[in-house]
Amino acid sequence: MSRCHAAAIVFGFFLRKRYEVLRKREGVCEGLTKFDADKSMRLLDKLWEHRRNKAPRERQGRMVDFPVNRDFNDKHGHRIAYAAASEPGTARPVLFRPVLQVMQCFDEHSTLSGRLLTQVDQETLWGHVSVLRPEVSAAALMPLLECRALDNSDVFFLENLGEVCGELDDREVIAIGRHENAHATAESILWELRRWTEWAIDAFQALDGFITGSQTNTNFIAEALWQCWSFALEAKKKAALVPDDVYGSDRRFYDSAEEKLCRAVTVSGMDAQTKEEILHSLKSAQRPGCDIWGDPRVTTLRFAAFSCWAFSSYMAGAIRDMTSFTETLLVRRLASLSKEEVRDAFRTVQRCVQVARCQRPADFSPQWLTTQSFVPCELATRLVRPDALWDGSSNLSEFVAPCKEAGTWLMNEHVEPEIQKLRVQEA
Amino acid sequence: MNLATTRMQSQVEEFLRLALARSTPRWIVTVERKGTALLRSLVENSKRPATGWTGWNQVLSSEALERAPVHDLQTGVILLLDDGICGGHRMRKLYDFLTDQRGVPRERIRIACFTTHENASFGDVDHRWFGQMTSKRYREVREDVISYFQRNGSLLLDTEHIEVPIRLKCPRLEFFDALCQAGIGVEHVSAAGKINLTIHNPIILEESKYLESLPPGTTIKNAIRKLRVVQRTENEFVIIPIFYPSIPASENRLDTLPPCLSPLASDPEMDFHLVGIFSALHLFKTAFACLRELIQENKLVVRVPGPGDPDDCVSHMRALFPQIDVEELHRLVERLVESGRNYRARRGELNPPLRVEGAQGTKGAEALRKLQWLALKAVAHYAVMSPAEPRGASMAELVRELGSRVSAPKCKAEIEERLVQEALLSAALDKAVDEADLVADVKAMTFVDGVKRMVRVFRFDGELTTSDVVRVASVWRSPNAPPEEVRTSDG
Repeated sequence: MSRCHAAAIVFGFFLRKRYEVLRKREGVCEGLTKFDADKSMRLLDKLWEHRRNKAPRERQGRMVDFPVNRDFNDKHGHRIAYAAASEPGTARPVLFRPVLQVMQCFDEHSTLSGRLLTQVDQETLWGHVSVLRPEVSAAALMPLLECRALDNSDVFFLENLGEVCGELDDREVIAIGRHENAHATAESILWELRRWTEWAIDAFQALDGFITGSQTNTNFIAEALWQCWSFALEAKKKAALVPDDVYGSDRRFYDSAEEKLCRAVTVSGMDAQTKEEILHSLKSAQRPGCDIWGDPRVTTLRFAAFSCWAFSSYMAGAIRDMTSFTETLLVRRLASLSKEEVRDAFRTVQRCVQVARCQRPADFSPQWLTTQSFVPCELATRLVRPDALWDGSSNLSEFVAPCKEAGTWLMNEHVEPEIQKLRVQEA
Repeated sequence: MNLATTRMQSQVEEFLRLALARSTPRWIVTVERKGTALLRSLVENSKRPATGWTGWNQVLSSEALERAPVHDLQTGVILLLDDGICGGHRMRKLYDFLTDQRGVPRERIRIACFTTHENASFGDVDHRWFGQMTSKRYREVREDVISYFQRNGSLLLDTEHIEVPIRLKCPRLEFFDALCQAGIGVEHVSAAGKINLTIHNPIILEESKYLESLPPGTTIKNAIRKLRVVQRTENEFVIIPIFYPSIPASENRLDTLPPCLSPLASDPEMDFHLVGIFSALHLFKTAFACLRELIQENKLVVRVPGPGDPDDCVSHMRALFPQIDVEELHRLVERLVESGRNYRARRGELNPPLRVEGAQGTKGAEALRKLQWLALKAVAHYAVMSPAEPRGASMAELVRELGSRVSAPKCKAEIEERLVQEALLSAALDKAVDEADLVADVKAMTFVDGVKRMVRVFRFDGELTTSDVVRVASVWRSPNAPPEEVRTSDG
């Protein structure tokens, strides 16, 4: 058995324990979402690495860490990924592949009894959703115990940790799974902003094409707008603006996850040694929420995240309600965004484009914008009101031109310098 | 399968083939329980037919020997089969019964035994594979044989159970979760690495109708009631329902039982077994009602192999019930499986699944190990109480050992915890049976209502190993137990 497969079995067992507690608590639970499973595994990876007595365990040949890269960047935050894999069906080498994908690959080639996850398809209000039901029980760990990659205390740790993680809801496990320190969080926000930039540029080009008649596929534009909006949303959630809105912020869920985990460990019936070990791992692997979101590396990104989010809501929300786009996926995907919120976003963007990089506060909050009195700049006045687009008093080309200008200005003024700064730091 | 087990399998198979071919028996009397398991391993797992084997209609269990009709055993060679002779008391008893009470001459009796101890008092063995073994070597071979039985699917389970094979076309946990709707399940792994599931006290569908079918005075309280699921091959499992209500230890009316069982009624012990078969078969309904959706979605393949099929699941019943109509019994099993598959459970009739992990390293494994020793200790205690007749311990006595009935539970979580403990005890007993530490037996016991009833009890198995286990079990104490010695103030 390869180390990757062994680790996948351990992850599967851990996910199963979490799933069983969730199922018992919620009555009906068909499985874990992909993000939930992914971030739960990342949390395990972090805590496993920070267990006590690493050196003696390593000398015994036990699995002291998993063969994964923990900082594989992706839309919903860092993921754990296996190295040196290749794309299925092709010989094209890739540097990393997310563990979850590899687990599904293992399943395609294994017998039923060796299956790690089962995909369960569900129809929800939002459309077709797939959840994953972990299929690994402790019996599947027997080969790892026999070859001494694990011992009884490892299984005990996994079982107990999986059960206490079952006390967290999906938003909490995602928050604690994807954040651990300020540097990683800042890097993760910047990754989202970089993707936002790429999609925003794509959206501008597609809109230009639509206006000139070279691009007739509205679904393509809708996809670019939606991606733009959702990357900005992820950046905003990770930046944890105060106060948070209906979309929530990772900080709130991170804090409640940390508190719930500590409480669940304390009140559980596990022995004192295991309790102490889990709490030690948790404290060593996870910085307190105030350290992460109070760090200047993260606070300086708040404005960028917030302005990109407001800009995306304004642009995508306004275009969504145009007649040409009513048949696109944008309508369903942005169903949560009300017209009033689009109007608010418009007003926010008008203010944002007047804040130069040197003017923004070190500890930005959305209230700060409302307390400032700006003399509207030329660009702010040229931005088209969403209602004007909806009632036909302005056309799409009149809307897109200043919009594109504002977006580019935000990229150049607030996003790119931060990305460059990180590159310099990393270099 | 590891090398030791493969080697043991070929040796056992060769030994049985030789014993059967050389004696060409008309009757095979198997010494319960390992003698029967030995034969089952050849019949159910070997791909080649054995010379001298004509089917289960030539087999009699040692337990059924006294009940066998007089005209049986009157012709042909009788082969007495056991896995090992240590002291030789059981083989001597069987031999004496045949020669003294049935008048069978010695030349018609052949004795086959896989291993014999150097101190065995009964040395007149015709076929043996290992002879004159020291205690150490005898123990080692015994362990290997038990491991071989476990690998082949817990063959040490009682012979009087009926099992239905299931082939999985879905992940195992989906199958287990569906079954755990019947009751709390404990998943454990045998020493040979086979996965087992024990579902304690599964619900009884149409309970009032079932209870009406039982003889008057019968109680199901504290009765052994479970569904055992045993892995045979990677994706093949068997479901074995076990249910022994306690019937009055007097003359019982069994005319409400199905026609294939009711004519066999005789003494209370036989009646107890018949009611046990009927009750266990009723649990098939529960099991298959739980599996209904999976079967409908074609995730499980279910068949009830009958007489003539290579994996026949009913004919072995002839060993214990020589007069049973296996064809009729097979039809009854098919009917109950079918009615379970078609049973549409009412809302809330089945439970949300609860499965406890008992594999190595888990919390459940530690609890299982402790409970297994607690059970052995309890059995040792009752053996010491009446050393002349080690009657074993009943389920009620074993549950009492848990101390869980002393105080009333305070909350729902505590109720569930106690139920889980009972389920773990049930699984611990299964492990003890699979590891040949315990065997099940039937004894008459007086209940608090003054009625004497037949009860399922557990007692120690074997001769040589029994003494080891009894010695350790007698002194073993749970680390959480209070000290046994109390120092009084006057010293």
